[in-house]
Amino acid sequence: MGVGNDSPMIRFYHVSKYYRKEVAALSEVTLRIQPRQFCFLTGPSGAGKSTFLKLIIREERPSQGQIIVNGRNLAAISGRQLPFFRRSIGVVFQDFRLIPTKTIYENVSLLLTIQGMPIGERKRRAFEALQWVGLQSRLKAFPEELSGGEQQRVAIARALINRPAILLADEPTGNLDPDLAYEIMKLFREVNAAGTTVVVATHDRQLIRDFGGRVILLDRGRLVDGGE
Amino acid sequence: MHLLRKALYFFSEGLVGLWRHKGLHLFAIFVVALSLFVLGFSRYVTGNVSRLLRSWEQNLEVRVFLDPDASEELRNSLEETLSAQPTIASAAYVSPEQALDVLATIAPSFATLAEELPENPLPPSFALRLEGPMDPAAVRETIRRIEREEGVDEVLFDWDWVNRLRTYTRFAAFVGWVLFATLGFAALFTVAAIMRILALSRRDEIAILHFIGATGLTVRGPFVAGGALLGLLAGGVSLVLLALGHWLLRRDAGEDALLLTWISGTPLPWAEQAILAAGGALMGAVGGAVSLGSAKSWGDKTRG
Repeated sequence: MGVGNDSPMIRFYHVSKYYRKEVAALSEVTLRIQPRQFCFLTGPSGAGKSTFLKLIIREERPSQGQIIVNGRNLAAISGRQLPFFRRSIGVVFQDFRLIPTKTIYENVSLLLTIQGMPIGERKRRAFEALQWVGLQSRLKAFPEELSGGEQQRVAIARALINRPAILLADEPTGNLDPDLAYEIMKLFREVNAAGTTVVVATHDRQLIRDFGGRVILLDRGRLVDGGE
Repeated sequence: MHLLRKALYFFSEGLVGLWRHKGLHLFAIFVVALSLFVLGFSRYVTGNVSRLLRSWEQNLEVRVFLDPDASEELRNSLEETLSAQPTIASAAYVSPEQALDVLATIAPSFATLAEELPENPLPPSFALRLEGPMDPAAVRETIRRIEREEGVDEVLFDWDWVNRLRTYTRFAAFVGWVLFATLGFAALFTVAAIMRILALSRRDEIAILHFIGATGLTVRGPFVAGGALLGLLAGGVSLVLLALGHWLLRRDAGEDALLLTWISGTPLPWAEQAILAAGGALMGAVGGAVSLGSAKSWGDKTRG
């Protein structure tokens, strides 16, 4: 299932999330993110950025409200369907989350492997994804042999291998120096230009200024700016 | 084809997992092999005890005492009748003189007393060996039939001893199975605990698999396959240990030792060896599956 031209790719409707009774990680958030849109999600620490992303991949469930992602109501997705839903979303984290005991090729092609794709096709797609991020020569290396920036590029290649409709990035440049952060953001822009909806959570105002796009501002769980 | 690729993925990942965490897995194989060895050894002991009891049962003798006045013709006819019984393996005639010789061997004072009497008081008899394994109802029926034969004075068979042996055999088998079940569960919990430690050491990997969209089966599969391989290896090691123990026992007991008459030729029957190895694999697989009981929550509570 996908979305029509006018339907939002992500829709939050009066969404709240409480971890404890009186502490709201998100409060009454209502917004739409259109297909092929590039968004920054920003705000100070504890604003609810990570919770927002976790709700989109249904790592967390909202305490109140409805979330529609790629045409699907997340509340209606069963536990069995959840892995298949997640395959339509690429996720990149600040700490890369590569498997240290697997090679770069194995890390990037992991989703294709568990889907049972033939090895020839896996190799071709992994090569393409790594070529996209400029690391096609490091197929056989292990993550620890790569720099932080290279590891993040591998993580992006892994997130893109299944050609997802949405790419979510949670502080993807948090562990990188400004030059590398810039390179990574350029990659996200290219991914977006190819038609993927991209949501980048960051508190780096300079990056937001340099790359522009829609900015969704959260503060203490409330949507302060950029809702529509 | 798709399923085959999945199975290959599970086993190759399981194997890679074993190899990449060599130290932990070697320790796991050692512990599981030890559990399986104890399990196999309990079957070895109880199996051989049961075997010994069964062999004693088969050696039990039915003694048919004849009328001292029975003619040789009647005796020969009786011997033919006895030998034709399906429950009887052999019938050996024991003359009064032979009976006296036996008595002299086992109770010399009684033999002296008997020799002082004007004539040998011991009656002629047949010593019957039963066809094993013994069916008490059939033996009872045979004895009843023999008692009705002409020239037969009395038939003696130690039913008390048979019943006692039967009780011991049943008890040995019961103890064997209780031990087997108890140690089996202990081995299963050991495997599950070790696989849990292994799973914990790979919790980041499990969390990654969850967020990229791996199904529960895909996450669990390599652990189940790895557990099965570990269990199979441990089963193999335990069989080698059992064979070694069996060989040492036979070697050190000496060629003429009484012990060797009741110890089986192989450590365990082949079927039980296969069960031990397959059981190891099954326990490993179950342990691998159980170890990830909360794996879903690991995936759902990733940092961020």
